[in-house]
Amino acid sequence: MALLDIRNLRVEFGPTASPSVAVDAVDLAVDQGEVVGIVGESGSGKSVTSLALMGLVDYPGRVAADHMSFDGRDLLRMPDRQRRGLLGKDIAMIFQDPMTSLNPCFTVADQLVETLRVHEGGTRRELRGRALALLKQVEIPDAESRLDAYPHQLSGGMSQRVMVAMAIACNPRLLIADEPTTALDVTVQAQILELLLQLQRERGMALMLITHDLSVVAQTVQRVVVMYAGEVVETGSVPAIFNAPQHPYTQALLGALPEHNIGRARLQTIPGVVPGQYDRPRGCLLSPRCAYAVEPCREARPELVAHAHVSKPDSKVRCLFPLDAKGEPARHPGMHKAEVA
Amino acid sequence: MNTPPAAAPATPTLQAFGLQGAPPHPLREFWDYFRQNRGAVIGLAIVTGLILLALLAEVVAPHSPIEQFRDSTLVPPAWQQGGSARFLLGTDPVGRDILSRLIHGTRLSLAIGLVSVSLSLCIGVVLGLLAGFYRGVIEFAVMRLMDIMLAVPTLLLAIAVVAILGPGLMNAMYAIAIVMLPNFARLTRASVIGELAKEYVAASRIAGAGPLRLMFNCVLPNCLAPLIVQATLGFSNAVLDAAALGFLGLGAQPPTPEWGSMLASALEFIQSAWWVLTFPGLAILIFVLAFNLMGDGLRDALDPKLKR
Amino acid sequence: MSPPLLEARNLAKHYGVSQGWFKPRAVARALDGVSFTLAPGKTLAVVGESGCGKSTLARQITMLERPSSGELWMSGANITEADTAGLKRVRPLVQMVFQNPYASLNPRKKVSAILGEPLAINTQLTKAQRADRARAMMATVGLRPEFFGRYPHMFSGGQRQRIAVARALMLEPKVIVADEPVSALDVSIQAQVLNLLMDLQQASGVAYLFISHNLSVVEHIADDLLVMYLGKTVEHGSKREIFSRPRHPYTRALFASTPRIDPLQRQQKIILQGELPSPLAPPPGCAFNTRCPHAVERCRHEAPPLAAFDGRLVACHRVAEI
Repeated sequence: MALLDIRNLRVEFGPTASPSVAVDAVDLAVDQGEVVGIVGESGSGKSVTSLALMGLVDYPGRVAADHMSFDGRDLLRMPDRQRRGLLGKDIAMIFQDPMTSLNPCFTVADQLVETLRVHEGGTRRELRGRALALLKQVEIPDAESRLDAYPHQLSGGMSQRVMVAMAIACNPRLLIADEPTTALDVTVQAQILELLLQLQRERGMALMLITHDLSVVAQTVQRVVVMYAGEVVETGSVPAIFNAPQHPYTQALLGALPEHNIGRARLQTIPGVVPGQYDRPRGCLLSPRCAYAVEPCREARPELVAHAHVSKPDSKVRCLFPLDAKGEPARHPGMHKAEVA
Repeated sequence: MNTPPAAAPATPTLQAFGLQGAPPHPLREFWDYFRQNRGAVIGLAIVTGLILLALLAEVVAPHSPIEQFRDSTLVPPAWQQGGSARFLLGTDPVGRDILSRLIHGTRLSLAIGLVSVSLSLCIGVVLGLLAGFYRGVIEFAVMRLMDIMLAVPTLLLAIAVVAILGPGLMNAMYAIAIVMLPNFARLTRASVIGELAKEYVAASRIAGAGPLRLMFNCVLPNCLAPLIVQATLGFSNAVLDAAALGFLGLGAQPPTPEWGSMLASALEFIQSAWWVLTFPGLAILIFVLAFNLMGDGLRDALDPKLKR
Repeated sequence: MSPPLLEARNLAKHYGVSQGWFKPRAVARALDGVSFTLAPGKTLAVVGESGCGKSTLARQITMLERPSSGELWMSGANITEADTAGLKRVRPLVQMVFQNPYASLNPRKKVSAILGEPLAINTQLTKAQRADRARAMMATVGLRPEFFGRYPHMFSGGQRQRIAVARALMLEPKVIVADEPVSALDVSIQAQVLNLLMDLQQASGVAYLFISHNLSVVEHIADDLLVMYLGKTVEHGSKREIFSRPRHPYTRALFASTPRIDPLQRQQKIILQGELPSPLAPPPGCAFNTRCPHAVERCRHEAPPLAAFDGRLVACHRVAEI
């Protein structure tokens, strides 16, 4: 049974008559101890998805889903009090900017102890001892002296480690990391990712990594979910997605990376922009920008399905003519990959 | 291979954030935000009404504000026994029509607000700009001077200035302008320091902009929002201060129909002729409330952090 | 041989940091002796992490600040100590594109004013002439003409960066300092902006000083590479040389930490211990010795000079051994 199971999640903002849809028809499942990466650019809805499952989408946002459960417990209809008991304990989250995620008025010890006290309780000395142990676990050098430091006295990497310590304090089953290393230097990024994976291995916790950085995802996760304009467009294992992407968006995204354009004078780009609130196409959301789009694509929104001809069982793609191993859309023998520039 | 630069987005519709056509004009956008605050719109309506009253005072007021009707002193308001439709709000101890005096007083109150706030704003902004831009000794001197001014109770400060310059409405306005100076100076300096750290200022510097251009052309427009709000609220403060000064006999001199001095001369009639005291007081109340409501609405509409 | 377009000789910048009334003023050596030359039509990438001094270097090159020591030469003329009149002549030659597209455009100015400002300050063109040039520049960077009268908040990040590039080009500079111009952009937009920068370089021969911490972007766009650590150059040479065989331990760590999609491209992980030392108290000897896996006693006492090795400049005592 999946640890986290979300089916048909929809999050919208604004007036009910003409809402702005941030997330639409998203299915997401995370198993025990699995490492999943959610990849997308701005406007893809990846952060809103995680906020929705944590119940952090404030009014005037509206969250609806066919099914949203964690460890068998229904998240949709859970009363707030129960949900508060769940967050921070079984599901934990770390955010992008460590400088603003920590409360600047309280020391590191205060914030760690608060998390522990709310969920587990104990005497002050016990809690402080556990806080110290946590800091050592996240490999903060000279942890004793850092306990009483204020957030502004810590560097970005240190602050993020403190965030990780707070997140794992109560042994969560699922850790959601929303762009945890985007604001950090590349060497510090490597350290933090290494730390997250190590903790994941040691504690058997599931890790959901949300990022726009494809290379981070390639090195860190087992399974990838690609999002575009609020929908999931492709899911699959890392080798499947990166070696033979099925969705044109995934292919174009990989193609735009400088890594894949070595020797070329110009980088391949995707023309156009992500659809906003008022110009969502009737058919496939990528159709205005897709190099392979044909009439059927503009008519109806494709479903997210596993295509029979593809041998990978857990790969799903939302496309009428998914790409084959050579990178060409199936059933269109005459079409060539356009030189998009 | 000569390929042209990457073409602009070729989508049929505009912008990643999805707009139907050209984005709304900033004034239009501002008005949309502003009118969502009911109180602010009411405040604006009242202020507009007051401005109209002030402009059309000669036409609207039934009598002259200084004409004394010796045979009709202390006449009660029209709806009371002994009142007359000739003097809708009654008359004061020397027989002047209170309604006409109030209407003409609107002109004075608006003038007080306008003159004091404008003077204070101009000088305060320049001081704040200098302090924020040059820092060091200039900042120290300006800010400590402002601190000293703030340490003295505003009314005492105003009294001191008027005592030096002599009583009179114009001098009262100068005094009030001086008293409000530290607020504008501090606000400007804080905004300037915040804006100077931003990259668009560095960009203008790299383009060769000198200090004057940087101050007035680049940075000041971005500091305006809190200043506008403070200015609106300053209107009501100015009127209250002028009323206090008038109350003490240091502001407007008789027979000027300034609301504060009207209050001052009416104290003894609290029991016997309540209308002489109440209506000027109500006028001040409505004026101040209207400007405060409008100022609140302005702040909400102009604050970029509240933008949805 | 004609003098190089831009030459920096031992640029250094020290900032005094107040430590309160009772302690002496501390000195932060943000930039400590960096030299390079830049030729027209070429791109020098400056690579390093936060605290390495690359932003300080950008401020010296764009003459926002005067260096504490060292010299800056442009086309054979020493511009380090230029007076106001001299600066006015030289400024149009060096312009900048900033990292944050949301903060580098004046929110209260329309695009027309933003693009027209450099011309208004430095030329005698009429308003109409400025508008013409601005529109032409908008077309060059791929912005639609109807954007001319709009405010910055109506644009996406990628479009704002195009406006920023257009502004930098208005004075027809010879050098553009690009401080992480694509770091804040999505991958697909990043590709568009990088293409634009390269096309412009090809068309106009402008030289770029490209500051970045992203090695994949640098690999694509740079001709030469300068790696900085705590205000000093640790490795400096052509891209080809350094990318094929990085020599300095810090450069190697940077390469190893950069995530790669292709598993075959990934190198043995070198996880650096510790954090960047404070520029107020740099370690004695080699600045990198506290985190270097190859540090020996000599590294803790003696700062290594920047010396030629294997076709590039490296500052490491043990470069021949490791």
